[in-house]
Amino acid sequence: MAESPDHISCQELVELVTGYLERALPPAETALFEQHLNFCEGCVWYVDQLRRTMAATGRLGADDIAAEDRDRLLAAFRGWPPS
Amino acid sequence: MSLSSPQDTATPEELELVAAICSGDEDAFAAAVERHYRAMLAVAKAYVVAADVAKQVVHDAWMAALAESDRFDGSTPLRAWLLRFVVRRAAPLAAQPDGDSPATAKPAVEPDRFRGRADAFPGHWRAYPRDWRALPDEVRRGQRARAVVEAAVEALPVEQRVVVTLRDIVGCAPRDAYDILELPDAVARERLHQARCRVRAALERHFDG
Repeated sequence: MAESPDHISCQELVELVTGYLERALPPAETALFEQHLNFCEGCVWYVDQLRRTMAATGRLGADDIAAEDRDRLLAAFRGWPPS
Repeated sequence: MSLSSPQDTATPEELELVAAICSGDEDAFAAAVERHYRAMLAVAKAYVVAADVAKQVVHDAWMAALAESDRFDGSTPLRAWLLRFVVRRAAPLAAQPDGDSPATAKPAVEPDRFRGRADAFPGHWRAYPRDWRALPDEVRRGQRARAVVEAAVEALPVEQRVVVTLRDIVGCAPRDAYDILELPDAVARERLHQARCRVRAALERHFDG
């Protein structure tokens, strides 16, 4: 953590950003994080970059189920007698 | 695209669905497959590259889940419960061990981008990162950016790719994602941090050229 407990540096903020976005920081660190964002445009942009990165990863999405894989599962289900 | 909205426990509707499945209702099973297969395949693919192996993992996970379906108590969302079966099968098949890898931990941002200890504001940016909001939409969200993100996720160590897949692609809540992986919160979060920061750095290199 910071040498001075009353603020964090940009270099420290970039390592806390996941904890912040996951809402996992202790209240004191959350306060320091948000206080830093109040005066540092560069870190506001950095956090925005992280949020956009997360959204871009989300847009990769996932493959739809192939018909043959669905059929195979349903066939297996028919052969699965509930006791 | 998030595949689900995060939730803490199963919905009453999910409990009904599983009860119907347990009684042999094929429509209920088909509905569950429709709803959760994509997330399960995404997680399997985070571990194993070969598509046919990933599909077999998901098939086997469904069979294992069916065998234990009478034990679904709704304490987790159905998707999170199903994904555990995927992880148990896929993790041993991963190309790299799914263990701690402190040696691979990197700083989120290269240290030389911050002012040194002798400078006026140690630890502050030498030059601000770029404001991505100023980028044209077609650059930010275009096919090239998408390819960069895809390649960056593929290049991640498997233990990082899995957690970022659960959180940012499948859209699991943090609690569910960490529980599915049976990892301490701090470990899971550090892996997620590494993953997101590496993908961000790849996008930054792309945008800054």
